[in-house]
Amino acid sequence: MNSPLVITFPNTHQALKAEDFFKLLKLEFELIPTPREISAECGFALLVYNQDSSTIIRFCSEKNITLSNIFICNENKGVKNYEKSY
Amino acid sequence: MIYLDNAATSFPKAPGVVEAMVDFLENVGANAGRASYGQAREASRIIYDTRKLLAELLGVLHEERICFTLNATQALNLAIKGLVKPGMTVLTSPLEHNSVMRPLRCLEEQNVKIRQFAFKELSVDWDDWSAKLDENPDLVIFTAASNVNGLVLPYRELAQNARQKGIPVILDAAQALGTLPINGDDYDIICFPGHKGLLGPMGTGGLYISPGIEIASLFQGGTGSRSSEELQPEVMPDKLESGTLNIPGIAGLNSALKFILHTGINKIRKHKQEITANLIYKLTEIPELILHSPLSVQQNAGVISLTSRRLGLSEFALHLDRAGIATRMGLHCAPSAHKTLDTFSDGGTIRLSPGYFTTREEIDQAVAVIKGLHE
Repeated sequence: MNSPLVITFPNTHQALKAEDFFKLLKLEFELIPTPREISAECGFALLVYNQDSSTIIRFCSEKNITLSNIFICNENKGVKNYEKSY
Repeated sequence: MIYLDNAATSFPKAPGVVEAMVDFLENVGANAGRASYGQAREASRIIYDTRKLLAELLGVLHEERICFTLNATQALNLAIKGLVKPGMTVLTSPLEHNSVMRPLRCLEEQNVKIRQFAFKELSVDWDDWSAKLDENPDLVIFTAASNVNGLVLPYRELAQNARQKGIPVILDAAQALGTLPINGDDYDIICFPGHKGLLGPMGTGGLYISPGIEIASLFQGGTGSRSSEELQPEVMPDKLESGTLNIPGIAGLNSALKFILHTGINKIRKHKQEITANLIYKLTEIPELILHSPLSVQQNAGVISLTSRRLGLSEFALHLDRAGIATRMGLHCAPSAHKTLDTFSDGGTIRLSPGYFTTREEIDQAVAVIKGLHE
């Protein structure tokens, strides 16, 4: 199983646009406050389960959704670590 | 009261507008784009959805290029001052509202040159238009319909002519959006109010900026994005939307847009044309009146300007006020238009502007009063 991905956006508008599209695609995700360790661009980020970065990039490109970065969220002994994959 | 001042602001508002505003203030109330708790998300969602509804109305794909303002005047100032640079030449119509003319006049201090194309009677003087366009102005800006006499300009054709020559076009859709068909991608920038033809609350408006057109931000400040940086973000719509938006107003506009889209521009236009035709027909039966508007409703966005041979302007307005008929007397913030119509020196006209909710009975009553004043 893939580690969850944290997707960040340049602004709220793009985050909500992605939220709409991911709902339509029935992806498993939740809207979360952007972890401060990774970005201060937009207050919201999407935490997406069971997907890989390239699929997310393709989905966003299909719908003209501008994303900023994708981080792979790993957890080790309760400490979250964000590895930038895009 | 018989409300015939819809060119100033629509009344009543679309069904659901008041309820949406109250609901936001009572049950949501949070600021948008700054936090991720439920109510803040709901506020962001209202703004996002409203932008999408506007994009649907304008037939454009890039809803993020629609920015909210407080009114059309603010949108026009953003567009004009964000696009015009010192030394540029701007071509405009002689029927413009001061929301276009004052920002342009202000820019004259920066050596900006203003040119106006001519009208013959109530039509564009095409020879003069072509000649002025051949001078290669840096920008063309004009209203889609006059706020003084309702004249619908051939806005699509004018824009097409200018853009074919690579000249960007700003459309002032203050009297047009919600009443006339407007395709967003036919223009470089469209400025509009939310509280006139869109039937939303005051304090709402916006502009659509086509892809490829970049304008400078007049205001800088908090946007909820890129908060670590002190430079204004370039990303749209944040670039032009610093500070807290009028979210209760946008919630109201959201309801109004749903009503407009559900009803359809064609139905709205048809109803306004019927009401306007009825009003024009009855007014032309009063020989003491002079109408300064196009008599054909195809060329009229639903605004009728008139003067009386018998009554002075203020006397006429006073009688209408006392009879409970809401109209607007004077120059309608458009001195250039009144000069073009030759009504400036007399202080302007009486303007009657019915709306989508104006009934035939109200028109009959208003005409009966006007007729009575001239017997």
